[in-house]
Amino acid sequence: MGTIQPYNITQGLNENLPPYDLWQKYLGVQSVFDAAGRPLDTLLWNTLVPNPSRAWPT
Amino acid sequence: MSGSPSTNTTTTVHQLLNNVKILDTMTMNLYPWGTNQYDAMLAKVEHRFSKGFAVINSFTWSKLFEDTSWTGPEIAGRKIEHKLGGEDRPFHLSIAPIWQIPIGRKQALGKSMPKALDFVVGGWQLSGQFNIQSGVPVVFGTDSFFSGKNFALPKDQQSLSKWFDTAQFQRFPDKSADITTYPAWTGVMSLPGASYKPAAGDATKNGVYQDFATYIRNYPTRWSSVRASRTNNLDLGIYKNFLVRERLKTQFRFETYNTFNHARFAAPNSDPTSSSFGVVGASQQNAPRTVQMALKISF
Repeated sequence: MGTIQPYNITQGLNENLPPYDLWQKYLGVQSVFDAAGRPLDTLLWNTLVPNPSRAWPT
Repeated sequence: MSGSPSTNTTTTVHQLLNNVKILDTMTMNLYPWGTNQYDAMLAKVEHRFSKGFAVINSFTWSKLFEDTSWTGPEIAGRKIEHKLGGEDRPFHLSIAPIWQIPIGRKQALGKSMPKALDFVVGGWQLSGQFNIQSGVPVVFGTDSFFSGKNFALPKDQQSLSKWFDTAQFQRFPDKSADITTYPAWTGVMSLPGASYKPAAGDATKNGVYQDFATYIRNYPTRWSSVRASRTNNLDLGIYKNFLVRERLKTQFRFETYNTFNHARFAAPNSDPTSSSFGVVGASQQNAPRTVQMALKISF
């Protein structure tokens, strides 16, 4: 593994990622099993919630 | 605002975890980074034309490294993988001789040859070009279980249908996978949820498949010991100049390309989720043997 160095090779970077700890928490092992050991059908990460941005003016 | 993040009635939790919640991926391009390194030993032996023979040999022993792409998901940290270059070919030998066959009048053999015989058998020249070069490393870009063992096969066990030891890889289980058949080295049975016994009719056959959503890759994508097939090519030519009249020169050429008809194939399938994992497509990448004859007349 190297560190990021400016050598003029370009690559697209996603600048809108959630923090790593939230990624682990919502997709991670601790949160995805019910009492019987069965995984949830939908990961917390993918759970659908009302969209707060919907009312924004177009 | 337009687009699904602003028009859908519902959204996902992870969308709301983004720094800019109303946008999905924000790609920043022209972010300059990356490096590669090429080290090589070059050796060249050249014999200038003398006694009707000349040869140029060149040999390269090299290594190419690239630090130009991520390993693991970007969200787990921007780690650049230090890996073999896609065009890393450690050995390359090239030999190119020319030989004037010493048969004919004024030559070492057959000095007193009749003119008519000399016209047929005298004054031939041979030339060749031999190239042998290592194949490029196979890219293992799909995340899977990996045993950590050397999965290169000895030459006598390697075939187009099994280019490397596929048993050292095991695809991650999906919802319908039966993990009881997984080898012990995968460690899958020690994961939380491994003891889950699916009820009859449940489409979810195991309690571990979701564990791999946060998998962070820890093994390389290219391996020096597992490469696509090498280049092994010999071109030969034999030709003779005739002087029919002073102002009418003729050259007869007989040439073969890929004389021994060595086939070069594409890289094997390296996706452990594919049914053709480890299989090399049986289509030849280089040109098959070509034989060509030509008569050139200059006046």
